[in-house]
Amino acid sequence: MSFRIRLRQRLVYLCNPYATKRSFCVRVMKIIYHCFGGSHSSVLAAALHLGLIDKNKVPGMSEMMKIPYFDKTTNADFGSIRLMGIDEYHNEIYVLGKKNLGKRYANILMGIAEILGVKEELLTVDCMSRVNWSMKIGGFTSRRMGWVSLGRPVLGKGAEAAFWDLVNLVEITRMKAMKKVQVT
Amino acid sequence: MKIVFLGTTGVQHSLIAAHIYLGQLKEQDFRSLEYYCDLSQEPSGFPIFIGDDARGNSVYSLGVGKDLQMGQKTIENLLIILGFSSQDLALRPISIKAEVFLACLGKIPRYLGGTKITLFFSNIILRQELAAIKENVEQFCN
Repeated sequence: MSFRIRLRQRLVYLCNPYATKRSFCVRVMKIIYHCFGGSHSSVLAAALHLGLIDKNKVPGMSEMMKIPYFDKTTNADFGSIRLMGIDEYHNEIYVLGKKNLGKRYANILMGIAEILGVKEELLTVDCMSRVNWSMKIGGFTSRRMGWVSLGRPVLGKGAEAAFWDLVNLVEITRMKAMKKVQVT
Repeated sequence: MKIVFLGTTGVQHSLIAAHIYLGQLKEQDFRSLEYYCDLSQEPSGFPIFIGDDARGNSVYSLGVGKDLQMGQKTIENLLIILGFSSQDLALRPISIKAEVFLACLGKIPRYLGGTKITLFFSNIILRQELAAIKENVEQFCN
């Protein structure tokens, strides 16, 4: 690892209000959950990762609506990487809406990280594999068409049905992040 | 420093722009350029290394799909969260009129002659758009 990257990590540590002595020697990761709109499945997964919602109980619609960004994004948010929070291992958790660009978009992000020499710091998670038709139709109706009162109940049903799949995805991601984090 | 030329695909106009920037484009027959219209490179999403310029900057070409602005925005956001700036990686979006058509050509399956069709139309379109691409590159150089 180059001196410049190590220096940058030290600076990140010094500027990070959540940093502890442990994070001085452990690489802090950036985990990006991404889906079509960056508004439902990725936000739900990020909230699960951060412990904003209980992973042992299917949340109701009112509980989901309390999650930042959940069903609140606009077209201008496509392509924006938004911080959701920092987990207990000091990993930064982000969400991203990438339209229908599929796995290629994650590859682009990893490619950019690789040429900058920080590939190990980045983990991208595609949530689209855990999205069901109810979430797609409800999300489209609520966000794209703007018919919130019509789309939100359908979305809620879909999110409840996909909840355990998302819990599974988050657990896999946490394992991957733990494997990827190396003591420097 | 890294310089990344962004296009809807990384193997057509952005690739030509990168070669123009490096002064490597000698003639209008783009077929001699490495990776030109090689759409198999696209799904990997990895920036294609073109060469180093006189200042030692590494030059890449990258395709971000049909929404170029969104791609640029995401990469700019990524740079910030990774703690880098435009001085570490400079993005050079290259936009031409027929970019959506070129991206659609890439969807034609190989068994229907997609590779040859893409190559044929890309040559015609990119020759016509060469002046616009050069203008784009000159703007970045100044």
